[in-house]
Amino acid sequence: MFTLKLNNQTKDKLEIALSGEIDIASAPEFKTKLYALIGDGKKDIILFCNGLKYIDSTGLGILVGALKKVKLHQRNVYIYQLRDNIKKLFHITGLDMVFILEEAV
Amino acid sequence: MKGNDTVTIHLPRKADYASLVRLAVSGIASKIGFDIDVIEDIKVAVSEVCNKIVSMDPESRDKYYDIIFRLFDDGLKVQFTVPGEIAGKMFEGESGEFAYAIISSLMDEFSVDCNGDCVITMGKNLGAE
Repeated sequence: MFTLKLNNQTKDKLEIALSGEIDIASAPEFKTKLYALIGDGKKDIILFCNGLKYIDSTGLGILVGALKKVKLHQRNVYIYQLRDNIKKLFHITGLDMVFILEEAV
Repeated sequence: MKGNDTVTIHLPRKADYASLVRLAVSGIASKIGFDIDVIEDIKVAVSEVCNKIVSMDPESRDKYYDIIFRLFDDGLKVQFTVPGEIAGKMFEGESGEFAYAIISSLMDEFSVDCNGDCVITMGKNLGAE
């Protein structure tokens, strides 16, 4: 199970806290909730992931989909505070060069 | 101590069992003596194959699948048998390519051998980096 919580919202950005486990069972719900928050994709997305314990390729694919949505409007997805085991997956897949990864805010 | 034990898990081809697989992998890998970081890697790699199997056409012939874990003193081998027509598509598309890259990188051994059905084998050696 995972939780996705909207922490803050301005006219330019959405700050979302992501925690728990995103796997093939929870991915459809994750996709629905995330894409609903993103809406038309006209804001930067900041994901705080210090509580995210597990994500698989299905979840990574959903994040890429989110990035594509906001890129249409010259926006970006920033991913903060990834745990080392998950950061490793971003490196392996090359997604560390696609998203903006930050250690802390 | 492990004595080359084999553990087979017979699972419904449903996403709901993904967390059960991760739990089983944790227990088995920890029994061999892998450290926590490597256990996380093995969990991810095994789960990627499970994901592809449970995503197969729901009308396909197999409603269940087996994961065979072979425990050795110096490592772990995990084996899946997948219908050939499915295995060819498992690592296609964006998510499939991510999965292939992840498994190849995290495991010491990864092969897909097809002769009718396909046998997917992955291995991790104890003490290897």
